[in-house]
Amino acid sequence: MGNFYNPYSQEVYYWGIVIGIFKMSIFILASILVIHAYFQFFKRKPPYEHASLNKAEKFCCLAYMVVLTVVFVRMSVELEWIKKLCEVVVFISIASAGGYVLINVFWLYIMQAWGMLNKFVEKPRNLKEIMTHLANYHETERNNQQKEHAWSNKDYPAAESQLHRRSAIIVDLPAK
Amino acid sequence: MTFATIIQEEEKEADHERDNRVEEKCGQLQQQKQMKQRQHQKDHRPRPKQQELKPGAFIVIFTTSNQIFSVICNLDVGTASTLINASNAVGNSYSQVVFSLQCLYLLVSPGDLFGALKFETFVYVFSPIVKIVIVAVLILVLEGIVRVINCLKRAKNKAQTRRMDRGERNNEAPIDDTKDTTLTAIVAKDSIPKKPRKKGLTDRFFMRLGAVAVAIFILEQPAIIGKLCQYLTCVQLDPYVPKYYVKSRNNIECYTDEYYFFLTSQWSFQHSSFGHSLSLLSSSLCSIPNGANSLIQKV
Repeated sequence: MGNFYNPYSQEVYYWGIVIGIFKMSIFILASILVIHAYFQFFKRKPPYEHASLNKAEKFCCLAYMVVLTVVFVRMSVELEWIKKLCEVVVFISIASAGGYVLINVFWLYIMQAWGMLNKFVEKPRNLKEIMTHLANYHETERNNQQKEHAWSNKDYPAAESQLHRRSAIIVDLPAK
Repeated sequence: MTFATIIQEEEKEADHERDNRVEEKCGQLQQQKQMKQRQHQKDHRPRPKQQELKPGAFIVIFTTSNQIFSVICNLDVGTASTLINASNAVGNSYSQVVFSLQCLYLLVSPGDLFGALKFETFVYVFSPIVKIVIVAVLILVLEGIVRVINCLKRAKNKAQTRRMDRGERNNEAPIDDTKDTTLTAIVAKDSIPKKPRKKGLTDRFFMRLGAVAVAIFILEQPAIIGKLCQYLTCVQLDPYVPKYYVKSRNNIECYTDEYYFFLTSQWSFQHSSFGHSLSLLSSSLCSIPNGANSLIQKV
């Protein structure tokens, strides 16, 4: 049910219903005018927030127009080679519109996979970096405190013997 | 106490009351101001961020365009229909299985085309019920296995505790301080919040079965309606011959006694005018544009 309204922008939340009406009217009227009307409405109010989605819808609309025109031409012509040409044109327009959409889908999936891979690789690297910085921090802290307590000739109290809770520490990581 | 001091005290009290009232008023005003500020913030809240681009939106566009292309291509038979039907074969593998089943049926009783169609329709219509029955049996079997495992675990735990009570474990002294443990148990029981009642076997069974039934219905309902509509859709192949044939199977004649018998036995309204009118209505609806069947299948 979410696909009915989720992909569309807030202003044009009803686009799912528009598509439904468009499908029904194209089926009932079988007219090229329906597609033109839909395309004009789409141009006036692009339903998607992302440009690539709007572009995909636009390509599909153009492909509908081309295919419907060519189908009518094919039905009215008797010459075999024109029929074959029409079939080629139909094939190309369907393949290009569908191809654009599918390429975008694959690209998104590739980007998602790349992001997951990066996370997988970066996580242990970051952890290692943080641990070395933390070790350096403790080393310098201990040296400083030993210097402070040196005058009293007493052993520096171990961290375990300090009963109070240790305060938070800040470790500055190098900027990436 | 003189008259002047009484007046002074009264004045003081009046001043104090006035101060209180002023403070109250100020408090109310401040509260109102805060409410107004909150409302203003609510009204002028920054708009939510742009939605993340997801592949689902592209897939919706793709399926919609495929549906429209299939309708357009059905206007003229043969135009890129193979390209569109390729997605049907991938998307609805069930049709391929039914096709193979039909071949098996024709091997058993060759030449009985109407029987093959009946068999196909029955498979489509009754397959969800068969699937639900199989799932119900599976759920019961699984539940039984889980119960047996739980019983075994419980028996094992009981035996272990009994052994511990008797002090039969390796050099372990029997527990003496039973009083203390029971006391602790009582205290602990009071402090534990009441758990919600665990769902029984029948509740869980019907819940799971209901979920499966809903999923099966959503998945198979379009195919069933499409198949029934295909059976009801008849076309006149030759305009000069007053004979109608099933649109999906042009070798099966419509409106024969056998056709009506199957139709009425399915819907239990033999020779009713409703069955005939329904078939005529569907055929008239689907014969206007040629792409009706495909759209019905898609819907």
